[in-house]
Amino acid sequence: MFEEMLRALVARGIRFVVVGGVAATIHGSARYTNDLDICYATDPENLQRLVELLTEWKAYLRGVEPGLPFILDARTFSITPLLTLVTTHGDFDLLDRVPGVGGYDEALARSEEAQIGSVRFHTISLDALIDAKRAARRKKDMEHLIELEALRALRDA
Amino acid sequence: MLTLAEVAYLADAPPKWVLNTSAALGLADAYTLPLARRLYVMRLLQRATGCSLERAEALASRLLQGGDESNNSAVVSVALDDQGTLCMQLDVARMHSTFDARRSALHTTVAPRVRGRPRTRDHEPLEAARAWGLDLSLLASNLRRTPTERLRQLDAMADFRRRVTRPSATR
Repeated sequence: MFEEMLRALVARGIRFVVVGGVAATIHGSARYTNDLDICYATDPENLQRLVELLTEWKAYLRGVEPGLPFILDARTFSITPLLTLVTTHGDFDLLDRVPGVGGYDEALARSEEAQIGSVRFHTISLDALIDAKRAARRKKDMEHLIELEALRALRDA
Repeated sequence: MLTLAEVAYLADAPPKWVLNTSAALGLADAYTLPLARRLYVMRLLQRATGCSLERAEALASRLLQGGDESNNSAVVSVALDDQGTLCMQLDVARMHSTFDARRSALHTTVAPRVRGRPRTRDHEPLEAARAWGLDLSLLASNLRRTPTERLRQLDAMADFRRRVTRPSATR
């Protein structure tokens, strides 16, 4: 599921950085996640590619009654900083900025390269992920933070 | 029923604005989805035109009358001053779509921030994890895998979850 989603994003030339639970997994988290979170570049070409992919994946708003008017175009991205979608390929969250880190450029600057199969992509670094969790300060982030900080201590030991 | 913070998120406005607007216009004091939608539209109109709260409320009432979300566009006129009137075309479908995107985010991702000051004293992360009840051996074993192996394991888990069925489950 995630490999397929990442492959499609890369194949389309979409500029993104993996953040959230999948990034935590890549850094060694034992928590399960069922959605892919990305921070995307907001230039018009990138947004258009995302729109095309999401249209193909029949993206719709997650947790909202079916059948409501949902307009998926580049403008939607510019006025909706956080899109939480369900798609034919799995749940997919798109952010234009990561709390505590910044937009795509800042996230990219604090990312590492990762690879699954032949797919190479950028994932946010463990330090940046910890900063993001600290900045978000939701209860679940605080719980996750304990695990991420333990992972960093184990990694650096 | 929603909380003040949730209504503020949906209306894309600070909680103080929600409180003041509700009080000033005598809007319903229960935080409901229709109220949040109305406040969202009012905020949108106010931002776009700088009209008064009363005017924004009247326009929002007109736009949301009947709850017809299939109406794709509406023309509303907003009085600017004594001299003239601005005619504005409003994309109602997009307005609802954006509001529903906020609802989706609220249901799935947005949650209240933890109260109180952030932790300032340094703590020992492994001690904190042990005290929390985390299985550190599991983390250590994950760290022995490559990032690719970790991602494949997650993928396999996701695939398993998708394929597994629970005949006895009611939903």
